[in-house]
Amino acid sequence: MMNFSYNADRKNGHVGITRLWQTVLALLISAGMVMAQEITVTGVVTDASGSGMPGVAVTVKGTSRGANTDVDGRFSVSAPGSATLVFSFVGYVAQEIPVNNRSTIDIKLAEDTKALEEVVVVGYGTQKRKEISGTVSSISSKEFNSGFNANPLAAVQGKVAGLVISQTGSDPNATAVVRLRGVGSLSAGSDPLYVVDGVPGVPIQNISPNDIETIDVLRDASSAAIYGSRASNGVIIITTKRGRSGRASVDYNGFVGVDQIAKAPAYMNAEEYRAATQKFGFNVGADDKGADTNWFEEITRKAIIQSHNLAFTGGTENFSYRASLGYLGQQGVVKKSNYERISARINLDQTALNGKLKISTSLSAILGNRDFINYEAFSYSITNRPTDPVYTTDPAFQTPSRAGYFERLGDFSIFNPVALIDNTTNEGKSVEYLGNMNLRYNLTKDLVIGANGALKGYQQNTSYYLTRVPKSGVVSQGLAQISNGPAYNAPTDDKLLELTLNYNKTLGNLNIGALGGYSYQDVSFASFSARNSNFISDEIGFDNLGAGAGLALGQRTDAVGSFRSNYKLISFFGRVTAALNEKYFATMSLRRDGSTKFGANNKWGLFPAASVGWTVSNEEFLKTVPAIDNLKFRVNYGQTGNSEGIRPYTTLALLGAGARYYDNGNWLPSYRPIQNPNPDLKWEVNENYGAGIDFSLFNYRLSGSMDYFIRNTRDLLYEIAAPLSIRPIVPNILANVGSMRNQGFELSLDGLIIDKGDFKWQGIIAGATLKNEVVALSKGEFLASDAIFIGSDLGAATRGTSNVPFSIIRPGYPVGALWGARVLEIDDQGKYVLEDINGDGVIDENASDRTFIGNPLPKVTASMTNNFTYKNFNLSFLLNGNFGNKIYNAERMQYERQVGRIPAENTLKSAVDSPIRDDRTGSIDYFVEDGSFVRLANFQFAYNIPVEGKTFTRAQVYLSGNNLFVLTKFKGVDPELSTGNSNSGIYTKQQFPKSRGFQLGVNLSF
Amino acid sequence: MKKSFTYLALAGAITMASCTNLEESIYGVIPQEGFGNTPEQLAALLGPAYSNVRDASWNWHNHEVTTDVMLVPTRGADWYDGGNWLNYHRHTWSTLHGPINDMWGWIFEGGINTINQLIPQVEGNAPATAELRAVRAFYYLLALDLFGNVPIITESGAASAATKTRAEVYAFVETELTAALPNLSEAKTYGRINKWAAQALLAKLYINAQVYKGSPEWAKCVAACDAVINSGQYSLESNFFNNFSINNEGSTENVWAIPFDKNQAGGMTIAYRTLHYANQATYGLADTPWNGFCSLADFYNSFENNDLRKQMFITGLQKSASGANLKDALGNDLVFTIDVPKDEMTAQDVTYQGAGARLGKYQIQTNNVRTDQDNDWAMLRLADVHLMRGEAKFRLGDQAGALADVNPIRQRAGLAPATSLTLDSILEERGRELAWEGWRRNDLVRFGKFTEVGGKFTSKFMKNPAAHTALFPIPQQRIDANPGLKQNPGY
Repeated sequence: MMNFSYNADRKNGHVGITRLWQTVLALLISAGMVMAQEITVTGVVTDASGSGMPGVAVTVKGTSRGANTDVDGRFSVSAPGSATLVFSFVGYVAQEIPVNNRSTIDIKLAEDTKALEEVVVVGYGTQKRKEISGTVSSISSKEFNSGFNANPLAAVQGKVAGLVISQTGSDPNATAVVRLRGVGSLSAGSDPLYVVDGVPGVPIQNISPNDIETIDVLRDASSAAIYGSRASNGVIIITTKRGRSGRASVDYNGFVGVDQIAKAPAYMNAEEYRAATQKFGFNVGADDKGADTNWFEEITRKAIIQSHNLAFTGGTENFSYRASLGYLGQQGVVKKSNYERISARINLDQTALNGKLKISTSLSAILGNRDFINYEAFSYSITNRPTDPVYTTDPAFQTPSRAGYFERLGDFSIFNPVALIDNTTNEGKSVEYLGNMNLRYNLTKDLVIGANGALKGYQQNTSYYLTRVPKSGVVSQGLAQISNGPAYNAPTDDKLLELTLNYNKTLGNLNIGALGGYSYQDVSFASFSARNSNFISDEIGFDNLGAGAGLALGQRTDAVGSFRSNYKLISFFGRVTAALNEKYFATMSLRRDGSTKFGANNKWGLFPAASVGWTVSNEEFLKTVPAIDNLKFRVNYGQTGNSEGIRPYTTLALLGAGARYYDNGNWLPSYRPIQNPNPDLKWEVNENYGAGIDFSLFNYRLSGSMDYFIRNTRDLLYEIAAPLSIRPIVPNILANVGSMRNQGFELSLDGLIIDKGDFKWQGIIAGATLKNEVVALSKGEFLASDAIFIGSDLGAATRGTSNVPFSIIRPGYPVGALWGARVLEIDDQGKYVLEDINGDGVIDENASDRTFIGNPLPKVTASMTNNFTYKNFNLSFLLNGNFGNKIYNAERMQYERQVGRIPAENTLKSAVDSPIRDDRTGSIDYFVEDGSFVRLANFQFAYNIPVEGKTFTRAQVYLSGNNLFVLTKFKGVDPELSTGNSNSGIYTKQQFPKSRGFQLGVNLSF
Repeated sequence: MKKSFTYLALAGAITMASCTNLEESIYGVIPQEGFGNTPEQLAALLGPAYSNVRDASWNWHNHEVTTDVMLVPTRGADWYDGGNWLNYHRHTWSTLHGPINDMWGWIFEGGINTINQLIPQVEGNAPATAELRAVRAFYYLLALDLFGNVPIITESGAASAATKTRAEVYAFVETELTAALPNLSEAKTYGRINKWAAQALLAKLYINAQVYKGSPEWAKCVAACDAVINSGQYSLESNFFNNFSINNEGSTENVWAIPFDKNQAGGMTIAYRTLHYANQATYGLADTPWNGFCSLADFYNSFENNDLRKQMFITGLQKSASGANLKDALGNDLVFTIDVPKDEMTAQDVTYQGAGARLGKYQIQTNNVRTDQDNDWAMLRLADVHLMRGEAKFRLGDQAGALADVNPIRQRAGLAPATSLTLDSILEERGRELAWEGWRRNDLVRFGKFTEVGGKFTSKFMKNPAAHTALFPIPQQRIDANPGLKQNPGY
């Protein structure tokens, strides 16, 4: 049905989207020519496995004539008998075959492993891989990780040296922390800038990996600087899949999977708890309610995940399309945590005006439905006694509303976690849209003028209801709340207009390129919220806010609220590239960014960059060395900025509504200055020096790159104690105060280790070292303390630990270094004997007797991907590891001691044998543990069903999995913590558990 | 052709100009210029000067936990909080003590500098300006009392962090309050500083003049107290506890009260800070209280048994509203003992949860849906003014005049009138009358008892004989940010 022949198309004469009619043009041209030795060449193009390859472009060299292969890989093209045919397909090595008057040519295309000809997206344009002198990694969809990838970056985890993705637990509604070349900022955010199809500033976590063609990572500042004041943490460019002229095809990818708790925490069961109470000398007596409850199991479950994606692609000579629909339904391993996503995307490309005008349109909409859970349930799953039942009919152990949940009334901060989860509804419904249109018009052969316009918006509607049941503040019972505002910290309304001029010219052996551009972006955030409480029935929830009594009783000062802010970013940018003799390469770029967010005295910033490359393997003296296929040296410098930490209006002196004041019996909103304005406020400056080597050896069997970089960030934004000279009205002021340095060495290796007939083993290694150091914390009149302590929230049911900082920002140490007292020994009373670090004879573990007790940032991150192929079978897996980082195990500090928990609360099993009988909670090195680990992050075992001659062009079934095992010395349930902020590396009991998952999936194309 | 090119260039230039316009579009907030012209705007601008004062109810522990009348012991893991509470009570705080830094911020940022920005905003309105200056003087009085040597920053001129001597700060407070007096209201303005509240603040300033500037001003103190008492606006409540009731806005005795409202203006949480978790069932509270603040046996015992004010302590076996005995974490009957055996208790100390009489001076709001209560904070009471005048007269040698001021206070408490006074008996009376109201530290310093280890007015847990703790340290974070600040001696 879809196997139209070339002639059928012509006779039919209408444009059907399932037709192979790009070749019409070729036909018209060839028909117009009278060529004596014209012959019709037919043949089959196959891939390495012998399957026919559809959609391969077959062109007659030196002309624009050609055809595309059909579904079986067959083609038919007329050409002079002396011509040469060029067979090309993205991701495969193009081949040129002389016709030599043959009428049949069958060829096999090999996958392009050397990737030197590949085109890399570099921001406002593309460059050939071989001409790039910056540090750019490019991952195509074929190389994406197997297993379940909740977000696009999970698909490239372990593929890019220096790109570290970390996440505490497996909450389907949490976002992983992404760091490129370390932590670049104290407070302004260290997330890379994401650019999707040319539109900067797009939250990417909900984009379906199935829609992505390539992910390009601009690792160094010389490459990223074209994005100016937002690029200091690197730039990740996502290019979505687009249609191609040629055969229409349909792709279906889907899987069903099961997630379960990878490792449960070791809390005492009822028997162990009873034994412990006796051992510690308590008589629980009637307080033992006789149950054997595993509270953690009560709130967790086996979770089902399923994903279905359908894509349609095709196109004609002047028009191509790709449309896709995706569904993801992901239950969390904790009861009631859910994520559901529906995504739709249409990408259209059209050429007009004799091919001079190219119009690309991308439209995407993503709908998310989320059920959030209250993390306090995790804390209560340890503090609740295992001898207490979940449910009861005893009125003395119920809340006044008698809902049947067992609660210990009058016990401090201990709630039934099952009741907490059952009785909280917290839904988020998000809408994300992005539409952009890109026009490119060839003024001359070398000069292209471009315009890019984009509209995007991110909104989340959150509905919250807490029933009247839980044992907590009455005013927070029967509480309903609806809010609508930015989703994923992204703007609710964002407009972009870009104008570019691109010039490319080849002059003999010199290729030069020049880009000039202007960009205008208008960004708004708006939100609205309303709430009420004291509903007399739980039936209404948040669906009729007016029905609550809370407003009528005057219980809510927060009944309504709204917010709006706006900023504009205006930029001029340019880039010049030169490539001489395919040996010497240079790129220079410059961007000037102005933002309304910046202080009046610093409205505009300038971001220069330059890089040079030398492909020494193209020099005569190396051309004779057969082992070296490619060897290139690169050196780069660049300056980028980070302005994401500046909210609009921060630099201005403004009045706003404040706390209520009493006015003759009424409580009215006061108006007050709202902030300490800083008219000097500006972006953080990131200066990056780097050098690297790219190589391919042994006939491209082994390729890779090595890079060394120094990344100096200065003018770090931080809220420091405001000097009295500015008459501060709040304690802190956001100022450009600090500087920080990251340096590291990165290594990527990609080797075809075994290549024997049907069996192939490919190994990919990506590793990086990182050394982070805070250099200074003061600038000008803004003098920060030389030690800034950062507190960590240890969660609910945490007693006596308010105001205890574990982390520090201090020059000479890594950001967020663990800082605390040193334990010399545990004495025979079970008390900590602390070191008198400053030697003054007094132990003051909360002041001067503290020191560096650990670096929470890994010294080395590394991963290894293995791909084994045997005939139609494929096995791949990824090992992922962190090395040399320390974790503060606050759970053990609180729950691995003989005192203070039993009998009122449950505790860790290990408490029974703990030598500690000390109630003190604080930062002490006794609980600092090695956080190194190696994880089998994902694997996939796939079978490609032979499809020759069938309806399908591709059919694959697979079994895959995530988080199969972890090797670590860490004593908590999982050593992976979101890392890359100023208080990383604190392990608490209040975190979502890590899951292990298996999936069964199928990929079909026809 | 040439012309059209010119037009094109012109159009281009205009487009470029608008394309580089970086003026902010402001939403939801107001530029400072031009606000404050209507009566409503003016009133709203006085609001923040007072809303910030509510934090006095939290920073209050600086004045009380550091003394003989109040303690926040460590109970198991609870209330250790990095040793902050113990360091307060033991006088072993460091320059990094977090709550002291918070208090500095409360005074200088929430208070002084906020008002410094408000004063130009109400320019031309003499009563509003006078009122803002009086509130600012209150904050400077606190800074003078707690930190001693501080910079003086006003709404005009350079804002220098250079430290002024304590005597200079004293003079500044006196000048400011005196200057404000003529333009302050003489009527009762509930929750705000009127002329009489300003006089009461002057009385506080003068009675401590010896401490603040090295020479006493007893007569000036008497005159300021006279002004308040003779204004005729205030009278002693017949029932002492009316001043602390949930509806104490009706009190005739409160010269300056800080209004609180459980819904609109939270912060009155003394009941939660002091009651045991299980007391939730006693008072029908929305949440479990926090079991922290308590008093000490020596102070409790300084009350005669027939002293009506002794009811401010909550002691003994605790019961639920329905009469059932409450239990502590060890499963024993919950009893609030008079004595606190240690300031750092563990679960091995059998009374670790119940130790210490609890603070029941402010009426506890039963069946409250909030953790916050409605009682207004009694910042300055007429009883305090009487006791100040009595003390000043006593120090001037007027024993009879002093007795005339002190005895009405004693009689209201159900005690026999005193026939003679000593400095110790005046200080004791002030303790019993004003405990937990935020003036104990100030009194002890004035009487020279604050740093006296082992004395009659010293907690048994305070063993640090360092005299320098009579002033708090300038927080290290502030010195780091302001090299002009000078640390107090001894730190």
